[in-house]
Amino acid sequence: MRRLRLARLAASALLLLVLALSATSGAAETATAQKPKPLFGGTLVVAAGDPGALNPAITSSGQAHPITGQIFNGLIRLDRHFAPTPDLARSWTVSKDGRTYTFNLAPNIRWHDGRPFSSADVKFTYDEILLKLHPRTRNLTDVIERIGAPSKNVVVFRLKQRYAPFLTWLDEDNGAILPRHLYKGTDPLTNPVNLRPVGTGPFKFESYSPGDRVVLVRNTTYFKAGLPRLDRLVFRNMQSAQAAQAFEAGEVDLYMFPSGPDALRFLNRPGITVTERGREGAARVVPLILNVKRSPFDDVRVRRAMAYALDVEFIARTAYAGVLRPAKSPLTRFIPWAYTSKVQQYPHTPARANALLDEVGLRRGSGGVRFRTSLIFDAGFARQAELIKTQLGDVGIDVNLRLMDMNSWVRRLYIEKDFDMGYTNFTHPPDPDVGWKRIYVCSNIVQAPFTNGSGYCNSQVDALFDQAAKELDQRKRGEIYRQLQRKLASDVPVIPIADGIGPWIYRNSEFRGFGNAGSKEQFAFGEKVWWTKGSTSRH
Amino acid sequence: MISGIALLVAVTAATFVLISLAPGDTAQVLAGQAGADEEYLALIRERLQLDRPLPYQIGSYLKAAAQGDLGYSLVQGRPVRDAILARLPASLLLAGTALALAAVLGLALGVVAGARRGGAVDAGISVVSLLAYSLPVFWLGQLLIALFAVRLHWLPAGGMRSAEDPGGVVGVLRHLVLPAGTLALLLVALIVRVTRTSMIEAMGHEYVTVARAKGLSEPAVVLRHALRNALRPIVTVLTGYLGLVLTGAVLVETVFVWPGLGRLLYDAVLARDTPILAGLVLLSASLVVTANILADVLYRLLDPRTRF
Repeated sequence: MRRLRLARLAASALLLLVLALSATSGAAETATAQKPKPLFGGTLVVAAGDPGALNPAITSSGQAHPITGQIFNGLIRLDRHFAPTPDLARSWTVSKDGRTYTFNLAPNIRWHDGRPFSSADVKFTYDEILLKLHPRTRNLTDVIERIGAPSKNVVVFRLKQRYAPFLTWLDEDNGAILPRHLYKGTDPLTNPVNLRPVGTGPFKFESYSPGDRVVLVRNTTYFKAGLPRLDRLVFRNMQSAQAAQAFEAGEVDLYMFPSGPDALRFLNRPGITVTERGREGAARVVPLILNVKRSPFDDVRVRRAMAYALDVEFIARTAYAGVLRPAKSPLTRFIPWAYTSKVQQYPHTPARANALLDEVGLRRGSGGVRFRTSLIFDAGFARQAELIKTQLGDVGIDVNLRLMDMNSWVRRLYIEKDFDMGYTNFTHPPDPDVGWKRIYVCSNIVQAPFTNGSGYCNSQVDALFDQAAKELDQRKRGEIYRQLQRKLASDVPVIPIADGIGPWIYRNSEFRGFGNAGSKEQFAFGEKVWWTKGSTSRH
Repeated sequence: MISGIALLVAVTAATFVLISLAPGDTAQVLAGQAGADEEYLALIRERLQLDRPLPYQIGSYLKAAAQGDLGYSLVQGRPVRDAILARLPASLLLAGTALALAAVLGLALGVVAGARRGGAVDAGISVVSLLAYSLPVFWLGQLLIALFAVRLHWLPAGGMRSAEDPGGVVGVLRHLVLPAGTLALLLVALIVRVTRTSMIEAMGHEYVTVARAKGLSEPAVVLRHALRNALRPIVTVLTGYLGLVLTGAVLVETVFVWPGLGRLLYDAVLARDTPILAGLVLLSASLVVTANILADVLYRLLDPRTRF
């Protein structure tokens, strides 16, 4: 057992090391003066899911956006630390009161069908589609007062109040701009254009065979000069085991969402890069969610005892194969301006857990059991759940494991609230206000998926979150979020288990230029990636 | 015919009831991890009529279906009929090839085994077909891919066309080998067992003895007399699998990433895509009904006694 643990430790340490190295070497590559000059031509083959409708403004689907992200643009794009960079908008200004954002659009942008793009498209897409039908962006109706298009190349957003994370909403993922001339007067949910999309992006739609592939071809009149470099992108519909086999067989060049074991399988292979760089937007913290409205989880001492009882280092090393790291804070470390690990830590100390539980009066009964409880989860958390059961069992907490499909635990946890313990992968980026606040504030204790499931409600915490949302100075905002992390680490309504992203895998022997398209590169890689066997000039 | 239609209605209604019993719905799946508000969920549910009582949903679906309208799939982003039609050719190709392969191979092996009952050949065929039938598809499929695609590079790992190939005949055939072979292997095993049993029974009849007494050669006895009489149960099995193979090759299509109806079904279940599920169940049930009618017709061709 001891030896096995050591072997696993070595393997995961290796993985972390290589991930770290690949991240830094990528950075070095962009920095060196002698980096190879990009070549032109070639086809990149991607293993992807079946996207369904290719309308990015009505979905947050992780299957559609890797494809639509190459076809469409948002006003801005987020860099690896979630700061806005130009996309359709080449510059912007914020008024003194923080409520008016004025965007200057890049000139001479055309839709793939040749029609000119203008500020009217932006206003239309927000007013008629994004703010009504995008599952996430709809939330901005509480923020946006009105949108104006005073001239062809200028868009103005007037907000109801100051809202610090506003710019982080405006990328392709949450704010793709659609052609007004093809959507006006139609039902955006069923418009047939959804299946032959017309965008402004680096690649044009060519064909979609459901269940098989989506083919995109180079937009020869893309508004960013010299881009893209590839001729074609082919998204083949294959995932998990199938994608791994096809990647191994050389039929696929980019494998977007590999499992931990698959990531390990391709580590240290010549010609293959396994890296988290470019996937920062998918950073997540996985917490064990405790139902604080139920005894004994309503007692903070019990929650702390459980945190001491859990060996998150071991869970991260084994169940996550080192791909995710043990969480040191309730917030992901990938939002560096807000993150701190200087919070109450709960190192694995069963003795302290036992002492705390004794103090509460939950003494060991027959068979050494203090109390019985249950954990609901799906197959994606099965190994973690087994470890949690063992570790909590060591301090006398008897956990009944209830494996169910995802829809079932979502209903139990978020709709019916009929559970003791559960889990969720919570993506925090691009801003703590967007991805993190929802787990903790009172107003988000509602019957909808992925909200405040623990039932934790603290007016002081809510006030701090509100204050942070209105603070435009990022340094001051960061301080508020650090204060919140300290408070939440001390109250432990959820026990953070793991923090990380999970790498993606590509063939660097044939394709270069990754790592230059921000924090959601899986939605934007097509713009800059190039083929090592391409030609030096366009014909 | 009337019982066929009644069956279709009953199956459709049952599908709706089963889907409504399962947790989660299309609205939640569409919203994904976005943490969508209740208003959004209500909006989508209204669009899909998920907010209406179940009998109303079933009624309006059947009414529309009778007029050829199978509804619209928000997940697929197209009408259900289009979504199914887009996948049908791939499924027909896979199912047709596998069934043809299985029928030829299964009959041949089954006849040999049945005619030489108790011999070493019979034992060999029986053991191998039992093994083939017992192998889990996902395991066998992965092994075949690991061997033929990853190691030997003889065949593609999955899909129906390679990335560069616009869809030439040779390219599609190369992609077809592994999935059709795997699917056929399962069917062969079934057909062998039915054929063998049926042949053994036929070989015990007096007309076989008579045929032998007439001095006919053994192949003539087996093929012309015994096999013809043994065919009936085999036809039942073959036609019975027609519908199943077309929409039910879920595992084979998933393992080999074949763009057919089986994977559409699989994805629809995960996405709680009620319109697609109902459409596929309706198609599948229609196929079973059609296959039964086809079996009746074939019986009459095979057996003069059932003709009027």
